[in-house]
Formats: sequence, C-alpha cells, structure tokens
Amino acid sequence: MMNTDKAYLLGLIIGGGTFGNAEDVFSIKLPFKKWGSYLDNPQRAGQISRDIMSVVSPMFRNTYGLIVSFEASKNVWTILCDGDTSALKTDLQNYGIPCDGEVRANADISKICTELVDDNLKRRFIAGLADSIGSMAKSQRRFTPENQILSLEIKGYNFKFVCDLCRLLHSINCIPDQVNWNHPNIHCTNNPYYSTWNKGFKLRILLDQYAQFGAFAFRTKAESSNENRSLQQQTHSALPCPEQRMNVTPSCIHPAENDALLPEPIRGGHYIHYRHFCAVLGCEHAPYDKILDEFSRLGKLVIPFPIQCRDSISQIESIIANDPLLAKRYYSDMSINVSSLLGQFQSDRNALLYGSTPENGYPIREVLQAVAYIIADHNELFGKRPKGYIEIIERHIKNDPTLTVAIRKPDLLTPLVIWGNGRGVLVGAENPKVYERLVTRCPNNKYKLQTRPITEEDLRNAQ
Amino acid sequence: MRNEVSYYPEIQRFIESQLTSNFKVASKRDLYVFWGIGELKTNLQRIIAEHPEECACASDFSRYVPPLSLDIFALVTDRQKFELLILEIKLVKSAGLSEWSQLVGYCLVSGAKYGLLLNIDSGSSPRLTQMIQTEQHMSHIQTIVNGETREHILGFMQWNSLTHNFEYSNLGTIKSLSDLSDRLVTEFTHK
Repeated sequence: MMNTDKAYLLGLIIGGGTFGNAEDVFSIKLPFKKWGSYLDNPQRAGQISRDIMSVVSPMFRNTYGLIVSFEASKNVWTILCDGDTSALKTDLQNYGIPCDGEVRANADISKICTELVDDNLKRRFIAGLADSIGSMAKSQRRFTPENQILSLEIKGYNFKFVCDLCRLLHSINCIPDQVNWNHPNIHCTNNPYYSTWNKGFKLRILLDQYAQFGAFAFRTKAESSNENRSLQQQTHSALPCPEQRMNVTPSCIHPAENDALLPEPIRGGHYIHYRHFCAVLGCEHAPYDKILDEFSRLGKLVIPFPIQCRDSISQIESIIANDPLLAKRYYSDMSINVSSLLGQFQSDRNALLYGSTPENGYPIREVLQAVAYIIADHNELFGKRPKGYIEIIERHIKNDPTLTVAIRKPDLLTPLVIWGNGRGVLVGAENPKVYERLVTRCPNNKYKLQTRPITEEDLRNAQ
Repeated sequence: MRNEVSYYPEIQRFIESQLTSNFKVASKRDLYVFWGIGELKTNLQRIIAEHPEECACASDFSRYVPPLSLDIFALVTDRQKFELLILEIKLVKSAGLSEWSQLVGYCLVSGAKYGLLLNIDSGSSPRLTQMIQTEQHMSHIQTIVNGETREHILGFMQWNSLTHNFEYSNLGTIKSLSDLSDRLVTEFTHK
C-alpha cells in the first residue's frame, strides 16, 4: 500500500536505483558530480552523508527493514541498501517496475501515479526524484543567473517516463520550463555527423516554481535551492504550457532519428521543437495548434544537410567522399574576401549566397560563423565553437583587411565547403521548396513527421 | 530568532498532510485533523462545536477529560471514531528525559493514545536515546483506569525547519508518520 514515506523512497529508487544479481542488496546512485564532490566541496559532502543517514536510512529501515550505508566517489554517491529486499521488490513489481538493472531505464510510472491520490503524495514522490537526480549545479540556469533552474537529469530512452513525470509535475502546478528530450533533434540540431547525440533527458523547472510547489528532503538540496534563488532579483513563475511561446528554428535531419534505441512512437520521426515531442506522445498539455501552424513552413525548418558541420579539413573531406550526393558534385574553388562578406552581412543579415532563386542559397549568417571558425586562433575557440564570431572576424580583418577564405561551391545546392588553417566547414543551403517535399506526416499520428533522404533529382528539379 | 511556537503551523500542516494522504490511500475515505493549541478541554469543546458533523464522536470524551495545558494537540477522526495526538514540541539542543516525561505525563492525564516528542533541528540526548531503545515500555505504555485498559503509544522525531520534513529517529514505538497512519487506519477500519 502506498504511503507518504514509500512515495518518497519510490522517487529516490526510480531516480537512481539499480538492481544487480545479488538478492540482498541494491543501490541508489546519486549523480551529484562536481556539486557533491568531496574534493570540491567537502562541507557539502559532509551534509550529503548526514542527509543519507538521517533522512534515507531511517525511512528505509522503517518501511522495508533495509539497512543503509553509502559510498562516495568523485562524481557519484551510492546509497547501498542491505537486507531482505523481497518486500521492496514486491512493491515495485506490483507497480509494474522491473527490478533489473537501472530502474529508470524501463520504469513505467503510470501505475504509481494512480496511487499518488493527492498533491502531497505526488510532492513526496517528486521530492525523492529531485533529491536523487535533481541538478542545481551553477550551469542550471536559463541564459542568465536571473532564471535559476532545477534540472531532473534522466539517462536512457524512456520517453514515456519523462512524459508521465512532466504530467505529474503539471498536476501539482510545478510546470516545467523546458524538456530536453534525449533525441538528436534536440541535442544536435545543426550537424548530422555528430554521433554523440544521446546526452540524456533534462526536465527543467524554474527553481522558484519548484520551491513553491515541489519539495526536497535533503537539506543540501534545499540549501542549494535557496542559494541559487538568492542570485535572482525577482521571483519567476512558469506559464501554463498552452500559453508558452514557441520559437521554432531550423534543424537538420539526423541519421539517429532511426536509431533502434529510440522507442517506437518516437523512432523514425523528425521533431521541430521540444514541444513537438509532447504532441506526438499525446500529452494533454501539448500545443497542438501551434505545432500544426508550424507545419505550414516545414521547408524552412527541416534541413536535409548539415546547417553547419565544423571539423578538420581531412574529416570534412572524408564526409564528402562517403556521401555520393556530395562526392559527385563539381566544385568551383573560390577565394573570398572576408571584409566583403562582413559588409554583405551588415547590409542584410538574412542574405542568401549563391542561390538559384531569391528563396534559396547559403545563409550569410552561417557562412560567417564558418569563416570565424576557419580563421580563429586556438584561444578564440571553445572546442569547435567560435567565441563570438563577429568579434573574431572584426579582429582578424583589422589585422589584415585583405584576409580571404577558400570556398568550394558545389554545382547544386549541396553544402558549401569553407576551408583553411587545417579546418573545414560544411554549410547547408536554405532551399524550402525542395525540402518541403521530403517531409510527410505519419499515417497513424498526424503530429509525427517522417522525412526521406534528399536526392540529386530533388535538387535538379528545383533549378 | 524564532521561538518554538513559530514552528507550530508548518509542523501542523506537515503532519496533517501525511496523515490525511495515507488514510485516503489506505481506506479510500477522508480523515479529519483538527488542531488545538493550549488548554485541552476548552479547545476540544470548541473544535466539536465548530465541526459537529466530524467530531460528535468525541463529545463524551470532551466532557470528562480534565483541563490540561498542552503545547499542541490534534483531534484525529473519521467521523465514526477519534483519537487524540499530543505533540510536545521543543527547540532545544537535545531533547532529554524531562521532555519525554512531560509527554508521558500529558498522555496519561489526558488519555491521549498517541504522543510525539518533536525537537526542532536537533535530536535527543544520549541518555534518552539509550533509554527508549532499551526500554520498550517507555514508548508503549498500558494503564488500567477504572477497570478500562488504556494504551499510550509514543515516538520521537526531529523536525527539519529548512526542508519542512521530519527526520525519523527510530526512537519510540511510533517510528514514522506512515507508521502512525497505519495504526489509525487499522483502528478506524476495524470495529
């Protein structure tokens, strides 16, 4: 039978629980990383150990007769629960939660949710999740420190779990600010050749909203929440989903959209916004009308080439060689003056270069970012990202007003190649009339978009 | 600097939420929790007058209960049956035998079945800890009054004023609020 203590423990277990082969032990991993590192923050680490022993330990002992201990490594705290785990396993199995491996990987919380009969029980369950996988690291903010965030960080591919959790949060008025789904259309919108797209789910809630409607049982978490909120000048509240603004920007078609790791309702789809997933998953809070409105300009939103792919020139050459559509192109080599490109950008930020009609061509904004990557010194890059592309270009042309970059322009509107300095960039064209023909709606879900690869014929027919 | 009385509302809210939630899950019925601060008899009669439908079952009890000054108590009822829960709330470095004795005394005099000693942001003294752990009868007391057997079941918990949450000490017979809820469910659903 559910109760308020079990609700908390279930949240904790679903957030971080792992069952191994041993019958008499299971563990809960708390991925506290730098925030909870005993090397970086020994005082907080001491508090975490106190939280485990004064909050979690007595609750496990009273509820399931299990004895709690813990281990702390640099990035992960592990709660170890010893004893006869059969009562706990029976409870989990009754809720349809498999006791095998990482619990959240396959957990379906719909049965648990039906037993969380009031807001208090829901809050207790969510407190367990927030104590285990709720991150309040310094990076958890929206643009500036003014909007502090609690991010529930969930590994795996369990979209239904994230959707159910989001609904549960809604039901107590703890409206999420954003959901970063574990999908290539969220984690790599610009580059289809970027393969490490699976960075996990992030269910982000404004900390003010969480402080008002949610809960923590760990003192360390409550303290962090207060500290982070004190960085804000104002109190912020979240808008209900249908009232939230939707800013849809172009994203490229990524081969991992068909990855077998993705669940069937999601696999094979292309998603134009994080809230597009909500519509495909059938959430009652999804902005269905707004999504359908965006479908009228899919040619501008769905790009079958990299919007921008930055790498070493050898890697870029290898990408071209391995893609017949790109490899078969005739490329004209050009040397372009960087000052003139900047001038063009300053007179029209939305200009399209080398197009066959006024509606297609390579966006000057993307071209300039690529140029900045090519000409940047090492200390002007964050990995492969230029730190302020306009500033980099201005600095370099100030030193050398005749500065040029090498461009290879293909005979059809496949990606433009910009190269130099051992680096290369592919820049995809805008070509809405051609691209819109690549997108269809899934027959059994009108909100799910399916795409097909672009062909030479598609591009030639557009001429 | 806050005094202990300033913590009453948050503690009341928390206990009430946990008891009513757990009762609702277990018995699919509502549980009512009415609070009184200060003198028991007068407050009990006021609660009954204000909520006659829910609290009529406690009318007889309120007539013969002696006047008694308490920190805070709750009349817990499902309309058919009722129980008294007495809270002894302390804001001390460590709660000891004298605080426990106070709670025991209040429960014995009032006839309340359930009692909780709550210390705010601190635990219990080593001596009290040892005594409650080894002497079970100190938290599960049975008396015979006018030939009638009475039971008094007690526990000790720590209130965390930052998280607004209890940290269970495992001291006493009432181990947790879920445990207290289970006892109420059993009692109120069995004739």
